[in-house]
Amino acid sequence: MRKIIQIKELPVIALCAGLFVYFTCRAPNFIEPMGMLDDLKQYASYAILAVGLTLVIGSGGIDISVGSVLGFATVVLGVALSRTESSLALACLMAMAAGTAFGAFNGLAVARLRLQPVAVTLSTMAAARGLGYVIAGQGISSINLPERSQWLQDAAYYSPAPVVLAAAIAIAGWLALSGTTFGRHILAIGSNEEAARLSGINVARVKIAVYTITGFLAGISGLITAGMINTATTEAGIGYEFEAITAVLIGGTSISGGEATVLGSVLGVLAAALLNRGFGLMGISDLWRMMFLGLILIASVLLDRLRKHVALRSAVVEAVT
Amino acid sequence: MSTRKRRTSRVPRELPIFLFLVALCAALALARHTFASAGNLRAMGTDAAAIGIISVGMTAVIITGGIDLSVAAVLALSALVGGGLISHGHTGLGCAVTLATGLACGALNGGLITIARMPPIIATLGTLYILQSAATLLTGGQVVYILGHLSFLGNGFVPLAVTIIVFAAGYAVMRLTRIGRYVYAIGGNEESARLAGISPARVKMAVYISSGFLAALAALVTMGVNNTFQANDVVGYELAAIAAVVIGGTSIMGGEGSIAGTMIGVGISTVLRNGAILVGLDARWAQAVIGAAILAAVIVDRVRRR
Repeated sequence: MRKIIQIKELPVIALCAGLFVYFTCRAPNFIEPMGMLDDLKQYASYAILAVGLTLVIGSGGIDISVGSVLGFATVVLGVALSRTESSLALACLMAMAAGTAFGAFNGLAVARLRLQPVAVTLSTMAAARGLGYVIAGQGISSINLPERSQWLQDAAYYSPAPVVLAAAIAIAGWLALSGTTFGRHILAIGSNEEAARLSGINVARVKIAVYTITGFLAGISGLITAGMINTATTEAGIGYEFEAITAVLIGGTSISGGEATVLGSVLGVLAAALLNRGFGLMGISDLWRMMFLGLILIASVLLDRLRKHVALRSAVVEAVT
Repeated sequence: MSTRKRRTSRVPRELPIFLFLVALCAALALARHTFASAGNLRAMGTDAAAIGIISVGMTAVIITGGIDLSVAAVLALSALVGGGLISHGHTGLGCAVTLATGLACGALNGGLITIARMPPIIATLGTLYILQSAATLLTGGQVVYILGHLSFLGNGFVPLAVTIIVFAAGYAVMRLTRIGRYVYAIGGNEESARLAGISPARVKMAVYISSGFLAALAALVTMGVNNTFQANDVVGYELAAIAAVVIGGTSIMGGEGSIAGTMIGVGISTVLRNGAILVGLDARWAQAVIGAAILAAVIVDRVRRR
C-alpha cells in the first residue's frame, strides 16, 4: 500500500484512465483511432514544452517565456522562408537556433547573474513576442509558408510525426531526468541548491543547460505549430506557457522543485487532450474544459499534500511497529 | 525594517527609474509636439487606468512574497456579473455587485493560499482558468453594452484621477499603517513575522482580497471607458501588471518594493506604448522594449543588493 501511495504520478494516471473510460462510454466515436490521432497531434507542442518545463521546474526554476519563444521561432521560420532564399532545412535550423538562443539567455541570466527566474522569463516573454512583431514587420501578423516548405506541412499535418516526435522527446526527457547524473543534479539543485553546490555540483552549468534545452524544445514546438497550419503567425503560442505549466503541475511535479516527473507531465498533457476531444465530441464548450483544468490543478495540489501526509504517516507507523 | 529605513533616508530607490521616465517623456516631447498635448495625456491616463489600478494590489501581493495571476480573470468576471445589471439601468446595484464579485474572488484566492496553504502561483493559476471560463460561460462570449451608464467613470481625466487616488491610498496604507508594515514583514521573513506576533494568514487574506477588489474597480473603469465589455478585452493584464511592478523595483522575492515605484513602472510601460504609436511604430513593438526594461530593472535591483 505504501509503495502505491508513493507513486507521484498516481493521481494523473487515475485521471487519464477515468477520462478515457468516461468518454469511451459517453462521447460518440471517442476511440476512433484516426480522430484520436488528429486530436493528440494538436497537443504535441504542449507535450514538448511540458518536457522542458518539467526539467526547469524540477531545478527549482520556472520559465514563462516558452509560449513567446515558440512564437518567435515560428516567425523566424516564416521570415526565413518567405523573404530569403534559404532552404527549408536552413530555415528550420534558424528557428531552432532562435529558440535555443532565448533559452540560453534565460539560463545565463538565471545562473550567472543570479536573477529570479520569474522576472527573467517574464522579460524574455515580452521581448520574444515584441521581437517577433519587429522581424515580421509593421502590421504583419501572419506569413504563409511558401511551396518549398511542403515537406514540413506533410510531416506536421499529414503524418503522425508530431506525436511520434513528442513521444521521443518525452522518453529522452524521462531517461535524462531519472537515469543520468544530469537528471539527479537537476533534482538535487531543486531540492537544496546550497547543498548541491557544496556537494560539488556545477549548479550554474546545470541550470544553463536546463533553460537552453527548454528554449530548444520551444523552437521545435514552433516548427510543429507553423507546419500544422502552414502559416507562421506572430500570435503563435500565446497562453501556451500557462497550459504547459498546468500540465506539469497536474502531473505531480512540485512547484518548489526537487521532485519532478516527465511521465506525469506528459500524462497531464494527455489529460488535457482527452478532455478536449471528449468535450468536443459531446458538444460541450471548450470553456468547461478550462474550468475543469483549473479545478483539477487545485485538487491535484491538495491531493499531493494528502498523499505525502499519508505516506509519511504510514512510514512512521511502520517504523514504530 | 531598519535597513529599509536607512536606505530611504538616503537616495530614494525609485530615483533611477523616475529619471528614466522623465528622460523618456522629454525625448518624446521633443520628438513629437503632440506628446504633451492635453488629448494625448488624457489618452495615456485612460490607457494606464485599469493596469495601474490592478498594479497597486499586485504590488502588495508581490511584497508578501506571493503572486496573483488571476487578476485579469477577476476583472472580466466581475465586469460581466455587474455589467449585465448596469446595462439594464441598475447602475448603483450593478457597481456594488461588481465590487462584491471582486471581493469574493479575492477571498477565494486568499482562502486557497492561507487556509488550504497552496503556493500562490498555483492557486491563482487555477482560479485564472476557473474564473476566466466562468466569465465567458456566463455571457456566452457576448459583448456587454453599458449604454453610457458608467460614462461618469470614463470621461476626460476621470480614469486617471481614479488611478491616482488608488495609488495615493495604496501608498498611504503601505507607508503609514500597521498592516502595510506587516505586508513588508511577512515578505521579508514570514517565520520571524509570525514569531513577532503577526498573523501572516490574516495579512495575506487582506492582501488578496484587496487585489480582487481593485480588479473589480478596474472593471468599472474599463466599462466606463470602453462603454462595452468583453472577456477578451483584458487578456494579459495580469502579466502587464506584474511587469509594471517589477519595472518599479519591487523584488519578485517579496519583502521589498514600493507603490511609488509601481506608479513609475506603469508610467514607463504606458509612455513606451504611446510613444511607439506617436513615432509611427506598431504599439506591439513596445513589448520588446518593455521586456528589456523588466530585465534592466531586475539587474539594477540585483546590483544594488551587492
